[in-house]
Amino acid sequence: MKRVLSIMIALCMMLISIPAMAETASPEILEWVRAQADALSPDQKVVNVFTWTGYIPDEVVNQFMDETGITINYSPLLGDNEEVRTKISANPDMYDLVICSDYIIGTMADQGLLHEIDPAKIPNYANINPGFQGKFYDPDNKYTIPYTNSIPMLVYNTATSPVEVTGYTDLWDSAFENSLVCVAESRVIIGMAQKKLGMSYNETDPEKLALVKDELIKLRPNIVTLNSDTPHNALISGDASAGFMYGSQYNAARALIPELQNVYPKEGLGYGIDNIVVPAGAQHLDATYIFLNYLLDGQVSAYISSVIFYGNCNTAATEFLPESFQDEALQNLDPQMYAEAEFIMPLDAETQAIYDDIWISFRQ
Amino acid sequence: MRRKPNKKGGLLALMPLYLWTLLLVVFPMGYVLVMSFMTKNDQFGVDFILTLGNYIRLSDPSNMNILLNSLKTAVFTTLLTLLLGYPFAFAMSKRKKSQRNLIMLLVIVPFWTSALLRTYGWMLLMRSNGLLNNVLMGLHLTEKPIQFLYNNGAVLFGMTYSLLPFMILPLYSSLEKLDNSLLEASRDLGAGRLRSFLTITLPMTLPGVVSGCMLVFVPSVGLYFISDLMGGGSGMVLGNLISYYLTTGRDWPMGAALSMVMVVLTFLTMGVYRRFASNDSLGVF
Repeated sequence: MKRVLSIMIALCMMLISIPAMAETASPEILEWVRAQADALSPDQKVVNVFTWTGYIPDEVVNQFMDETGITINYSPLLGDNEEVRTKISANPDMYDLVICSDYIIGTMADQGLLHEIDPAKIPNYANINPGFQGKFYDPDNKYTIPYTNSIPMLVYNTATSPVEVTGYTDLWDSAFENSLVCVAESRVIIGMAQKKLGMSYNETDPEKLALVKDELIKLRPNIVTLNSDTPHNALISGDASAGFMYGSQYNAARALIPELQNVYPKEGLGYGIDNIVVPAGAQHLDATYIFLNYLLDGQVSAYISSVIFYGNCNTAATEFLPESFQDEALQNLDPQMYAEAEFIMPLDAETQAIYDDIWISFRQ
Repeated sequence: MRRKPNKKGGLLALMPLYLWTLLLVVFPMGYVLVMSFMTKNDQFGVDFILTLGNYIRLSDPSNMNILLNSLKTAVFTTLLTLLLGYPFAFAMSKRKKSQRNLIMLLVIVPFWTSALLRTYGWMLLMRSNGLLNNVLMGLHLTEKPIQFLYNNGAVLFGMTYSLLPFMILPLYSSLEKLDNSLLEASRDLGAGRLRSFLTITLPMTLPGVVSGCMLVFVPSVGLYFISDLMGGGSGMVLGNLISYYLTTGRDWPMGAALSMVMVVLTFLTMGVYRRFASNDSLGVF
């Protein structure tokens, strides 16, 4: 739901805040997709897409359909990644192109649910920023094309925040009493305490986790609200002066409050990548490859980012990104930190129960 | 010879009732009950290993605290809605019929929009730079914005606001049925206003009170979006806990066990209701 809502909000923000958009696609790619599509037989001119509502903007989908005559059937994903896995294992041939998150892809690949993507059929494959490839869920880049990335980040209002924020530790400062907002995601928030204590996001040692619990409970008095869908609203409304949230949420809030500043915590980054995958049973591979190549066009990719506010994974898109989208904090980031960014991984049942207990204790 | 009633036909006529009850109540409840004895596996699913572990985990301090907090919120919400709802329903039942219908309409109108939307509406009014604070600061009643949102009081407010109609409607329905001649008789026999209220009105409308309390108490344990949004993640109720285990926690058996707690709670309040209302059906249940 988080994603659905934040995408919806991003779309609404766009209606009020973005005046004129750049071209949504380069002339070369339009020519290329037209030529490729002409070679397809009519019954192959279909791509069945499955992902969150609005995650591929309507303009992008419509332009592609107008140019190529390929029909895109966009099935909205209303739930979470779990739903993707369930649907694809039940109907392997139902969708041709799916966008979902890192950890679930690993599980799906293990179960043989994914098609091995052939880079030779995607001229724009080289546009992919290699920094987002080779991750744990797909070490050999066989199944995935990174679509967006989201690093949760610290955000503070330079006008109202009592402290200049540089890392997680600052959030524990008593000056922040009752003035922090955070995403209501257990692993992300428990992760703040873990990084503060110099641990991994995926720590399993019960003794260390007991320390995490104590540390996190000390943060409680500073939290004014936890919100999974729209944490940035508390920054906009003035109820919070700092917080921890995703880039898309920060970007949406910053469009209204220019005093907001994002900070990548010095203790370490967490991070998530949503990827495009093709189910093993996909029925319209040729059209799917054409659409994939179109999505990887620098201008198309930049346009998508400017609409959905998520981090971009395309090197060719950088020059086309709107100015408000340039993330100075990210550009100034030590590349080493970026390389060491850690994924949140699924836990075994026993450890998950400890995390459950930490989270529920924190929330009362 | 008297003709026997056609048993077969009667059974056939009742079939839809049994079928729907089976399909919509017994099966899903049975599923939840069975699920609550399963074991969560390391992946995302459930293993068919019977265990009492989920029920034992209910007594963990973290879960227990939320259960108790949830009950506390529910009790306070019920008392508040009763305190606000009874005088309202009482006054309403004394109006002319046309006015009563109008008031009834006004009580019901909020239901035409989503409760979530109304909660967001209150949040817009109550937030730091919201209308309420702007008015207070404009009148110089306060220097700095007052933090109305994100505390237990806000949760209680949100719950009371959302559930008040559920209290008013059964109260009104029992107050409206109250036979006025009984009151006249008590006054004739020398009872004061207070005495006739305490000896006639209150006992006669007790079933309405109980059914109103039930209609408020049970949902207030589960209305988790209110504590999520207005409480800002504090004041978690049982519903939040269930939602957590079913989504983020990926622990369906635990979510099911907590749901069973909710079912038991509902049955308990039903039991109380039946005790008080056994002879006097209100048409609410």
